[in-house]
Amino acid sequence: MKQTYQLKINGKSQSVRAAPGTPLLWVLREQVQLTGTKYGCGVGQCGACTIHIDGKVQRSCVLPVDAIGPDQEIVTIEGLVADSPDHPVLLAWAEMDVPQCGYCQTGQIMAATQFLNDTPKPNTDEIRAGMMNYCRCGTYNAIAAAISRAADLGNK
Amino acid sequence: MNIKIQRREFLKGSVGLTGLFLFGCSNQKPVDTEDVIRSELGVYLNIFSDGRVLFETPNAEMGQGTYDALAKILVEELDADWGKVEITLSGANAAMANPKLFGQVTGNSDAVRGYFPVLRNAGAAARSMLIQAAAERWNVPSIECTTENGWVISGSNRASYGDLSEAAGKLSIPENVTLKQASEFKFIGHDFPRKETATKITGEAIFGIDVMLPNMLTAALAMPAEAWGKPKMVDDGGASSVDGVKAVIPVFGGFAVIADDFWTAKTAAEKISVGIEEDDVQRNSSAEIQEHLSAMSGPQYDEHGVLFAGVNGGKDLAVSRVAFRSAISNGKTLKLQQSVPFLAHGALEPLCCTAQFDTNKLTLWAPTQTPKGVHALAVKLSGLPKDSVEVHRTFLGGGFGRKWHTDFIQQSIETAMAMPGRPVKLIWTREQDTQHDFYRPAHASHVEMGFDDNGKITAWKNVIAGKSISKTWSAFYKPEAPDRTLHKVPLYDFKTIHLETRAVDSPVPIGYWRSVSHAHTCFFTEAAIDEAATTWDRDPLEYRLEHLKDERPRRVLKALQELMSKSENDAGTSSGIALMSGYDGFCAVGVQITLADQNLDVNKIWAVADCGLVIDPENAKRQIEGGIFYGLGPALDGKIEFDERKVQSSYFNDSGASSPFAAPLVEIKLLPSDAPPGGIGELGTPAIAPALCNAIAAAGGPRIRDLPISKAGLRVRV
Repeated sequence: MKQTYQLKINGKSQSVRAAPGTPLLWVLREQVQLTGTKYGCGVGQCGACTIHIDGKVQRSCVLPVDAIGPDQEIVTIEGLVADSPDHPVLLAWAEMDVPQCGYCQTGQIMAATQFLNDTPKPNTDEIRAGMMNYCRCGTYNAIAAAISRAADLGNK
Repeated sequence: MNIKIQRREFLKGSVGLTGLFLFGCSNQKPVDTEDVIRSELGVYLNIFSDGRVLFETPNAEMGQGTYDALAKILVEELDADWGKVEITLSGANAAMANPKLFGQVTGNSDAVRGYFPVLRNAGAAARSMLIQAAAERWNVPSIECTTENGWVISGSNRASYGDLSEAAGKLSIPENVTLKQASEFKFIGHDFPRKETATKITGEAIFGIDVMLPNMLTAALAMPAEAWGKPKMVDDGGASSVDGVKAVIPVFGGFAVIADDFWTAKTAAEKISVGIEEDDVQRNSSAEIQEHLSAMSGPQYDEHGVLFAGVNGGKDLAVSRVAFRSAISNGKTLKLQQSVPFLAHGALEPLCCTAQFDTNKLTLWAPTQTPKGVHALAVKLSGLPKDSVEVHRTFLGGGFGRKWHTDFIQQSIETAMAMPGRPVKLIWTREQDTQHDFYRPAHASHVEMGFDDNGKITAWKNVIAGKSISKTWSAFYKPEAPDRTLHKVPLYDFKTIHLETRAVDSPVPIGYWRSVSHAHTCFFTEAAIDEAATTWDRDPLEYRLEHLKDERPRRVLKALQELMSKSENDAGTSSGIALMSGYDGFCAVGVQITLADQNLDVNKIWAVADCGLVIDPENAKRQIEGGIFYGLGPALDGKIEFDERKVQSSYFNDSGASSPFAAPLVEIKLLPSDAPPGGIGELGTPAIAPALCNAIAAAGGPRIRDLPISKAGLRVRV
C-alpha cells in the first residue's frame, strides 16, 4: 500500500505518495516531475541518478524513500541550477560543451560539484579517482577538463 | 556552383500560417496524401516574421551532434543569424528521407553525408527567395542584393529575413541556386557551442524516459530469462492483483505490467514467472556457437561460402579459390584463425517509449533511430490510417544502433492499445536492456597470407563466418550477393585478394552495433597485417605503408607516426597501431600500454583522422574519442555469453562498458581534407581493438587472435 512521506526537495517541503521501498529516484521523477535525475542501472553503478542529500553525493536509484527523513536536504540538478545558476561547474560544462547524448551529464554535474567541494584543486589523477559515473558516449576526458576548468573558476 | 533544384512546386502562403515562410526541398518523391501536403508546405525550414529561424531536424540526436551540424549546413547557405536559429526534432515525415538510407532513419554515420546536398540546396534556395522578395520590394535587380547574417542588403536598403519571410514564402522555388565555395564557409568547419548543451546541463532536455503526460500510466516488463524462444506465462505470481496495477497483458517478447508508477509496475512484474515454449533449437550456449563459427570459417564448410571479392575482380567462387591457391603455391604463408564475441549496445538510457491510443488516433513519443519504422509499425498494429498516427521524437540517451530496432516500440503500442485514452510509458530495466538486446554478432575469421621474397603480402584470403545482419534485417538482402555486414574489402594493395563470407543460421537476436562490420573486419585485418609485419621483422607502420597506394590513408598513418614519436621512448611502454577506413574517411589509432606481470595498463591513445570536409571540428574529435571508448571496453573485456540461452551479464561493468576509472587520455588530430564530408560517429570505434592487441604483442605479450583481450589471461582494467 502506498504511504505518504514528507520530503524536503530543493529547499521545499512536500508530501509524496509511494509504496515503501520505492527508490527516491522514481519519487523525484514521477511524483515531483524532476526528470533531470536519470535512471541508468538501478543498482547504484552508473551514477545517472546522482543527487545530493545533506550535502553528500547519493545514488538515488538505490535509496528507499522511507529511509529519508523529512528534514534531510535533497538537492537535484534542478535545485542546483535554480540555486546557483552561475555555479562554476555549470559554467565550465557549458564552456567546454561537455555533453554528447547528455543522458549522464546531470548526474556527472551533481557528482562533480560535490567532488570539488571535497577537492577544490584536484589534479588529473584525483579527478580520475574521484569521478565514478559512467558515460557511454565516452566524454570522460571532456568531463575531466571541465572539472579542472570549474576548479579554476571556483578558485578565482 | 550551380545546383538544379529538383522539386519545383511550392504551395504559396497557406491558411493559418500567415507570417510563416515555409520551404521544402526534398529529393524524396512523396508517397501518400499526408506527405504531399507536408512536403509542399516545406519540411525543414520556417522563418517567422519575428526573425526566428526554425530548423526541423530529420535526424535523431543521440550524442553524435547532428542536431547542430545539419542546422549549420542549411544556415551556411541561408546566411542567417545563428543566434536566431532554433532547432527542433521533427516528427515522422517521409519527405525527410535521408537520400542515402531510403527513409527517415538515423544510422551508418549517414546524417551529414546524406543530408549535406539536400540542406545546402534548401538554404541556398531560401536565401535566393528572400533576396528576390527584397529586390521586388526595393525595385532593384536581385543581382544588386546581397545578404549578411540574416539581412538582405542593397545599397542603403536593409531588410531582415523575418521582415521578408511572408513575401518570400509566396515566391516560386528557384530552379537553380548558387552554392558557396568552401573558402566562403562561415559555419561549416567552424566550432560553435552546441545549441542543446544548455538543456542537457540543466536537466531540461527531454529524453524518451522523461516524457510526462497528464493521466499517464507506466509499464514494466516481465520477460523470459532466455534471450530467444517464444515466451509463455508460467505463473502470474499475483502480479495483476497488486495495489496500483491496472493490467497485465501479453506483449512482444513477454508480458507488460501497467500500473500507476514504474516501481509498482516493476516490482509486480518481478512476481511473474515467464518461461519459453519448448522448441528444437540447437546450440544454446555462446561457447557452442563460437565453436561452430570457427569451424564454419574453415575448409570443411567450403560449400557454405559466398564470394565477397574475387581474385582479379572475378565473380566465380571456385575460380577465385583456385586462383588464390596458385598465387600462394610458391613461398612462405601465414595462416591464422580469429574471433570476436557477441556484444551488447548498453545505451545509458534504457529502452523506453510512450504511446497513447484513442479511438481514431495513435500518438507516440519515441527515442528512436527510425521514425520511418516506428510510423509504419504503429500503422500496422493499430490498423489506423497513416495520417492518424503521429510520432513525436525525443532526444536519445545513447542509441548505438539499438534504437533502430522497434521491439520496444511494439511493446509500447501494445500497452497503449490495452489502455485506450490514457498515455502509457514503457520502461525497460537495465538488466532487461542487457539481456534482451540485438547483439553485435560473434564472428570467426580465417586469414591466409602469401608473401614475396621481401616479405610483402602478395596474396590475401579472409573467410568470415557469422550471422548476417543484412540477412536478418535488410529488405535488400540477396543470399548470393556480397554481404557488407559480414565483410569489407581491405584498403591495402595485396595484389591477389580472395574474400568469402559464410552466413550462419542462428536464433541469437543480432543487430547493428556502432561501426557494424568494421568492428570485426578491422580487427581481423589489422591484427593479421601486424602479425605479418612481426613475422618479417618490420616496423608495423612502415609495413602498412608498403602496402598502401592511396594517398589519404598514407597521410593519416604518417601523421600518426609523427604524433606518437614524441612518446615513443617512454620507459617500460609499448605501442601498437591500427588503421580504419570507412564512412568515406580514414582513422589511424595508436595506443601506448604498459604490460607487466600480466597486468595491462592503457596509458594513452592517439588518433589521426581524415574524414573529409568537417562541419564541427571539435565535435568530430569528440566523436572519434567517444567512438574509441566505445570500442575500448569491449576490446579489453567485453562479451555477452549465453548459457542455456541466458545472458550472463546484467550491467555496464560485466558487459564491457568503458568505465571512468580506466579512461586514458586521448589525443586526436584531424587532417584538413578537400574530400566530401565523411561520417564521424562510428569512425573511431573499430581500430582500438587491433591497436591494443598489436601493442600487447609488441610488449612481448601474447598475440591475441580472439577478443576480448581478457580471454588471454591478462588482467585488464575496464
